[in-house]
Amino acid sequence: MSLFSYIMRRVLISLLTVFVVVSITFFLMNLMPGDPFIGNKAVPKAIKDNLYAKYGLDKPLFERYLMYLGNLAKGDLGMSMTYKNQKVINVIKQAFPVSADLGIRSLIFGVIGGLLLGVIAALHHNGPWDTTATLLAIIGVSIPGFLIGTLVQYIFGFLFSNVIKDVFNTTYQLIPIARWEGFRYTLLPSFALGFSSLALTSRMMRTSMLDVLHQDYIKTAKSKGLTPLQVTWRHTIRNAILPVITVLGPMTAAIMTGTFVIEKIFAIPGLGKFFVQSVQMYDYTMILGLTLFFSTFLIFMNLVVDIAYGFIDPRIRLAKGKA
Amino acid sequence: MLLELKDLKVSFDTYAGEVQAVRGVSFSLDKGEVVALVGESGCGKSVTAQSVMGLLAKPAGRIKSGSIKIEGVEASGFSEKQWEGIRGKKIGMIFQDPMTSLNPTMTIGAQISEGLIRHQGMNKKQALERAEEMLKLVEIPNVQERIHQYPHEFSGGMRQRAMIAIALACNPELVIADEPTTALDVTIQAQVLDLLKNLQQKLETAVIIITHDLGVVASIAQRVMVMYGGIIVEAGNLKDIYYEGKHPYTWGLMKSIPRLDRTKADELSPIEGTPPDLFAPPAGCPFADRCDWCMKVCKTDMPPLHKVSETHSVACWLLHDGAPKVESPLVPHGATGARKSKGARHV
Repeated sequence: MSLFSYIMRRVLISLLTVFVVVSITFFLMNLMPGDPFIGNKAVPKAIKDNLYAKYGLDKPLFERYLMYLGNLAKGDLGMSMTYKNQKVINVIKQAFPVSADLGIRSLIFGVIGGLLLGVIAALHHNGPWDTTATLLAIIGVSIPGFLIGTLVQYIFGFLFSNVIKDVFNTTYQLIPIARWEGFRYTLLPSFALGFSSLALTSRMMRTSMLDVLHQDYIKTAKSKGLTPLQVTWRHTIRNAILPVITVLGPMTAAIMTGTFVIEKIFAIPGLGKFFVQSVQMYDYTMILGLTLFFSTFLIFMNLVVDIAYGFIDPRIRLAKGKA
Repeated sequence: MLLELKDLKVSFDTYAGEVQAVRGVSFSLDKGEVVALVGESGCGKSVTAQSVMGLLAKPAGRIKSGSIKIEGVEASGFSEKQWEGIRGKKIGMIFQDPMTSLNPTMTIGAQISEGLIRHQGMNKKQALERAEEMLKLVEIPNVQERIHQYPHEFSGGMRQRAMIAIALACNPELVIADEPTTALDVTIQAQVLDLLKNLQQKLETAVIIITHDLGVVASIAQRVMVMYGGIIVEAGNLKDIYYEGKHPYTWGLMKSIPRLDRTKADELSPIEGTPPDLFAPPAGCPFADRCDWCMKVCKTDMPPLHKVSETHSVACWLLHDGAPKVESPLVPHGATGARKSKGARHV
């Protein structure tokens, strides 16, 4: 099977998956008691009826479902039901780049840091480096992001700022703790968001490295008289990184599409808050649009990882030109 | 003298205590010689080989005492850096399981080239050319294509051939083959042994072959050392061990080889029991507990090495002047049997 037909097949399966996801979300969402226009304010019935008519909510469920699918086929995600005159697609267009920016920074920090930490820990198995890495990983896995977020805010926004204030007599913030206005602003949220991926990656890499280090081919590599660096780089890491790559797909999708908590804490105008708010506000079109976006992105990342995996691991490389 | 071990003692430090894996092994090896280290699992064969390669598992394994001389140079205190100059260049190694001893993410060509680039100062292209020659030497067909393939595209026998190519790539003086045929099919075993034997004669490389299979030994080795409980219990040339073996453990090994001419009365008999616990090795002969001829002295004192002839030595109390005379249980069946099958490849 050629790479092209492989990708085509995967794309078809993906489309089917997305269709199922959208359908299930559509009906589940409508099972929620209430609707977008049951607010706290008492709205006159006539206005309410007009609103229902405008958004097509007066029609039977199945008809609305078909309508949504029809619009979707045309590439139209519809209008938001809570933000006035905002298309769902525009919300995503505006907020996703910010989330993706933050996500990529966190991933670079988390994945590269995690891999390094994992390698160091495995090479110093049971030594002080290993203990340090393990400790970091346990902290990263067990302390939730919002706590780490507030903690670094406290350290840099309060303790550190106080020191600066005392020494230089200025309120200048070297490392700002909120908003999204330049490189300095990205440091703390990237750290807070990337820390758990760092922990996860380092754990996986360490386990995988230890496994590979006991393989016979490492003995073979040593018996050739290769330097420790050559053995580690060409033989150990190259094989140990394979299982870690598989988790990178879902991890990337989850981190790049925004996280409610971190974005809220650091006042970052990302996509995260829309995931939560849309559900609270019964913003049907937004819920569907975001679900669709997230699942498409996740499936896409998994496909990318699968293809990348084939390039790195010759055993699952697609046979060239053969059936 | 290519390799000389003197009273080598190797221990592993574990949480449970010290494991004395090798407890005083001495032997020497000339250029181009083929020597077999024989014995069952856990008697120190592989550890002996690993210490000759400087490949003892760090930090648990350590050379406790004794000396390893490689071409006259004392190597037991070598640094990791010095060992790198020995491994692959002076001594090559072939491992037991070809399915797991090749890196799955590197082409065969690249895996052979690595050592050449490291030790012979070749560039990638030269090394790959030499790798091609090596693959031809180990009789792999279609070399042009095969060299760019990965281990999973090779069969078990071919992988072991590739492994042999890796070990021989830099023209080492000595190749250590650690159970090179154990993981292969019987038919492939014979092919790989033949290849190893031919290459050994062609390249005049010395070989230490580690095995528990006396059949393998007979087809390739000139000298045999039988190891048990971390010591060499009997050493001699092929004839000494096969026809004039003196140690009860050697007899036991001989009796446990399946043979076509064996009569019903002389059934295949395993050696009862298991090798001694090397956490607390016995004070006397390590084989005493399993020996049918065990005497009082065997339990308390280590038997001295008794020279039977110029080439043949045995560590057994039965050869002491005061001991009762014991005939080898292999006579008459064993001896005649062995002679009859002399022409066959496997004894």
